[in-house]
Amino acid sequence: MTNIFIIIPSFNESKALRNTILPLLKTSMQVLVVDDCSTDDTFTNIADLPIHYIKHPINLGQGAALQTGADYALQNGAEYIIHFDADGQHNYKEIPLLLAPLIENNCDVVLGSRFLREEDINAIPVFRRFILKIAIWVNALFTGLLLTDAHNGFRALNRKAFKSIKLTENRMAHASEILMCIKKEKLSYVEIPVHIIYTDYSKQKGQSSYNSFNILLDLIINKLF
Amino acid sequence: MNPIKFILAIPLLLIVIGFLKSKTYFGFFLFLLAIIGLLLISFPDLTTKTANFLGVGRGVDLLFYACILIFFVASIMLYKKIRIIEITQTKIIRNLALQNGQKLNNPDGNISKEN
Repeated sequence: MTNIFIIIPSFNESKALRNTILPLLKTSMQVLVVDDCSTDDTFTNIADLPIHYIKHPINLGQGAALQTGADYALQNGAEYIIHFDADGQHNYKEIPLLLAPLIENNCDVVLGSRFLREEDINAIPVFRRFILKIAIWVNALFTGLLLTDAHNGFRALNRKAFKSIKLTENRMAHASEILMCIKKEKLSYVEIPVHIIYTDYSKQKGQSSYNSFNILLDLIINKLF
Repeated sequence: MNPIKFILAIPLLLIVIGFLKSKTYFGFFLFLLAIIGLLLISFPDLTTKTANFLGVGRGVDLLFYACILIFFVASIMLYKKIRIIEITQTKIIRNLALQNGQKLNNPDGNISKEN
């Protein structure tokens, strides 16, 4: 039986997290929640579920949570990991599609993309779409990889990949750092279409499009200095 | 093209790259600044002569240009130091969190279920 961990970084997602986890439990994959020091009642809402649970004693950021998750999965002998959002934006039915290229041994990293199918592109809020288009080019400049979707949190990695990728960007710039690591470690990757579900809840909770400027600053300073 | 532009840009750039790769030069850098400051206070004509030599009108202007560069370099150095602290802090927090990781309600049971 393949040992697969679904890593869900979570910060104050008390309302949505349980509903995100429930369908995942029907699979034979292990669910790992990395609680980035939530201050709400996230834990009590999920304490009865058969999941792995790690809590950061202070809030570090989604990038740090994903790295902690990867380290835990590594310790527990995982062969593949999935990055999965806590807020219900990701469709659990697409997980097998993400895993397929890895299992067939065609590549090391599978990246979800919102820009490969009409229906996925149209689901993205307009302003966000615009920012993301720019982000793709900025990202290409820094990472050397031209992708169709620069900042998609739905990913699958094989052991070789998550063993060699060590994230130091704690906050949202981790998405670009992952790509830089892919390039540096010469990992093979492929993009597949995924449908991101933008609900009112996730749009309101998700990162502001203006945060992209903070990410840009992080990237510039860390890349140059 | 004034000599001042080359003079300030290239060596300082090299210094920046050199200093930024190492953590230990910051103190030396500040010490050097202090010495230069003392020299300039003791011999005010020094700035005028140096400025004219480099193609800058007044000693004060030269100092001004130098200060901008110095503050820029110092900011980057401090940022790098903070970054190292941040990375170390994250490693410690992560170790702590991993040690206290919990398996709630026998999640591994999932695997044996399928078998």
